[in-house]
Amino acid sequence: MTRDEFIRYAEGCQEGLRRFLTALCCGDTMMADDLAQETLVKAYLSSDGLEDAARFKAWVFRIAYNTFVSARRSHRPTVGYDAAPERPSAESADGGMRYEALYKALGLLSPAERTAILLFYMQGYTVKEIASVTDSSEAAVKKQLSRGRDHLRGLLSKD
Amino acid sequence: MENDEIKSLFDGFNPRLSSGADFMARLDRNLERVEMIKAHQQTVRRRGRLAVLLAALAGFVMGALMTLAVPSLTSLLMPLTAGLSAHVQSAVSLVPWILTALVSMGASWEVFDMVLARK
Repeated sequence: MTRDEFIRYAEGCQEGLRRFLTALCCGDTMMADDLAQETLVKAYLSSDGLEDAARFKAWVFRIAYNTFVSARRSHRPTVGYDAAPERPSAESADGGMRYEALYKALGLLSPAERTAILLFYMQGYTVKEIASVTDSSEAAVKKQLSRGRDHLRGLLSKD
Repeated sequence: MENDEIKSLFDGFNPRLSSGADFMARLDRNLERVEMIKAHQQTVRRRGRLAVLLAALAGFVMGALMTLAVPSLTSLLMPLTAGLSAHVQSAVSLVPWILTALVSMGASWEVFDMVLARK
């Protein structure tokens, strides 16, 4: 894959990727953008190994998930919404407040449950596709989805 | 809260992201840096291969020259061992070969170092 081709594919999926990572990082858009950049650079470095360009998006999301997990492990915590940095402008504050309850609830899920829920409901992935992205079994993904739903219902209905 | 309600939470999920154009410009700069590093690594690999080739050649040439000199070196050393035991004379006869190995390795090392240090 040439650099121009890669940039074309990246441009097509960057918005969805950043939205996914923003939810994964519970509203921390700066962290999400940094992870998205790291993801796409890693993808570029291993783009020769991508056999089917039609699977570019799913492949990038897999790298994004692994990058997110590595970031958590190396103590670059994705802070909860309450601890997120102050937003610099008033107009962006409204956007953040809209999803405060959702980010709080997502923040209380485990990374695996959060990822399964986001990929299923936000990206419309099937259980099989989620298992491929997170490198786990379909049974494990179903369990994570079921637990994630139960947790989310409990947390959001309290509000 | 049913599954449809969870789905509807994310259907309307549209957080305010930074500018897509800015994001892609930043990505472009990062990819440019990646290309620079890749080019540098390729240069280093090429120089390493050249260093190994020239070092091997230098070692071979010095080894060949020293091997030709072994009979002369042996004939210089053997009179010094006159009167000593056969074991000692046998050990001393190895000295020219050890010298050959050391000089060959030294030449290889020097050439390897010189090629890598070259800008």
